[in-house]
Amino acid sequence: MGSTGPEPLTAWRYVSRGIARRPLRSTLAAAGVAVAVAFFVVFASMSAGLHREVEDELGRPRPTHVTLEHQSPTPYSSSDLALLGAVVATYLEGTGAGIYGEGWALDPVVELTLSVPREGARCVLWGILPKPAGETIASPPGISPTAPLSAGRWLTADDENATGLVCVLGASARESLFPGAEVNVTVSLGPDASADPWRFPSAGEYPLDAAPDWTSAVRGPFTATVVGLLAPGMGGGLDDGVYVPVHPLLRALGQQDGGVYYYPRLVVTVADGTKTDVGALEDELGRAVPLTLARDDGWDRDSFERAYGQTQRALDSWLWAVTSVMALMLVAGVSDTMLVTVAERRSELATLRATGARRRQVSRLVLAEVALLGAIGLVAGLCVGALATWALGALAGGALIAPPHLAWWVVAAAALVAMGAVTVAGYYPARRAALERPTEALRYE
Amino acid sequence: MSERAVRGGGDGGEDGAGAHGDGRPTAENAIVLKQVTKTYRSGEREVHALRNVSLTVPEAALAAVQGPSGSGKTTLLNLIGAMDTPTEGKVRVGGRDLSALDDDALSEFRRRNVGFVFQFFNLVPVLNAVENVLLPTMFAPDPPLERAMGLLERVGLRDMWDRMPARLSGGERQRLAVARALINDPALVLADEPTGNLDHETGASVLDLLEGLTRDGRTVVVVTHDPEVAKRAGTVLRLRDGVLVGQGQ
Repeated sequence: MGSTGPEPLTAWRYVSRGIARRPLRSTLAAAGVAVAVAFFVVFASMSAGLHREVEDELGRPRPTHVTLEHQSPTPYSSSDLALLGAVVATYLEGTGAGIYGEGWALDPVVELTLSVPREGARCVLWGILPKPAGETIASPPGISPTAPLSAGRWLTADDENATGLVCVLGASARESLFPGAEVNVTVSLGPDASADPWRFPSAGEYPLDAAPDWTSAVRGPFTATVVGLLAPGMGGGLDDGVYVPVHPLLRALGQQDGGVYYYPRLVVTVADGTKTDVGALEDELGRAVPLTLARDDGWDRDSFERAYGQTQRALDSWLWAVTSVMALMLVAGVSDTMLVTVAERRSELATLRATGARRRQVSRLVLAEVALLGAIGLVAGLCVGALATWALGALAGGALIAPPHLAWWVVAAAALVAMGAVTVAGYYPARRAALERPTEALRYE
Repeated sequence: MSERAVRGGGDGGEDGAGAHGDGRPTAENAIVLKQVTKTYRSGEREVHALRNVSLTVPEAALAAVQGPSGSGKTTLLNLIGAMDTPTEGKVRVGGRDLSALDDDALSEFRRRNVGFVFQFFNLVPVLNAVENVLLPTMFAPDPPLERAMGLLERVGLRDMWDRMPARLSGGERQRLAVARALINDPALVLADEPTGNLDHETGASVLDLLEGLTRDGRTVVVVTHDPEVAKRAGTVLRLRDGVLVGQGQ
């Protein structure tokens, strides 16, 4: 106090002095609360993170898939696919819809990166889907029907239904793989008998979500007639490209039966965010080919909730277990500390009673002391817990199912649990203090 | 009754505000005990701390309670100080019958009417001198800081208001305890061996202080072995084995 002058004694001043008189014991008690709170915050934040992840996932709009199952023993052919593709393209122009056959994306370009047997040589085989209704073709980036050609022509819609496979060669591909090849020359694409089978990169390198087993599906080599040569200097992988119409390519790469590729199942995907009338689309598709429609959103909500529910329940069980154990330890620790404190202050408490303090006033002093210790521990624990949660997310976020999330309810629950536990912890010592008889003041030194 | 009457009020009744020396009430008696017995149970055994004690202490008197250890002096002080209730009989302080009060009412009575001075001072070590004086008013909405400083001046400790008890001498501590006992302006001051832990000179100064309180109209009861206190006391109560064996002037 020093030169600040005398100040009145209040209950809070008395309580804070009581805490300060046993700094080590008070620090340990507050530290116990802080550790319990920090553990709770970390575990609860992990649970909150998973909750948030699941809620986000459940609330996310999803593409609608319309699965077309064939009705006859004969699967859909590539011409069916082309027809359906035309329907989809016409109906869903600009909506981002796509059509898949066995997971092959034709939306609208298939990019297949192939390794070729010649050592050091490499090319990109582009499958290009010409739009049947128009003269233009869907193109890989940088390639268009008006791309400069050194000879021949670009692919057209007619090439899609041609019996033989045609191709346009990029300048580098021509130079490295087919030196001297000119328009109307037949080139061989794919492995020859003396070379290793074509080796395809792993699925992850494809722009396809679900690549089929390319290696087993590929049959080759197959031949293609060169119909055009790209002018050199297109840059990047374009000079390395060999461009073919997609359906003949699929027929060449996949199962063939009389030159027709068959799909047992087709899936039409209406992309996320479009306002497509899926029912009307189904009608259109049904008019084009015989089919059985089965619509789903391609995502099993129940399975998702089951899978995450198990994880969530496991995490929540841990959270409750940790919380319960921590709360019990906290109650035991703080209660024991306060009992020792009360025992040490018997004379003082009795003096308070002798000088007129009521039982409940003495009881409140002890509870206030416990609450102050708890509040200090709570604030420290929240800081440590928040820091640990942040560190966990930053350092190990990738290894977790979901990044931890310090939600407001985590802070509120931590405060509730901590203050509830310290109140319970303080109850018995406070009661002991309140029952201290004032006559004891005359017995103790 | 003097102007320093017991607050919380006398409750009337047939005993009035006091009693004669034989236990009959008179208007001038601050303390009246009528056939008071206090029995404690110790396991199966009953201990009679006080047996059928009747006594009176006049207002504004210095009364000394004497007797060997175990004679019931402290029990008597507890009963007069509203810290305990008798097993039988009646205890009236300032006309108020304490025998029938519940714990809260006894606490309120102590707070407003009784000041205690303990043998071992019972000061709170983490509070400074003025805070110790203010201890009984801790729960009051407006703690009387100026009064506390005035009491420190009266006991000669004003300049030491910010000293912790550990930095005070024995005599200073006991004077501080006297100041604390007076913070609520009580009509009755009870002291348990107030000079028991002090040297002769210091004890005498504390005794002077206590004796001076009677001039304010306060009644002071001192439990003591010190014959000097008995010499100064206007009333001497002698106890032996829980029985009042003598009450004299």
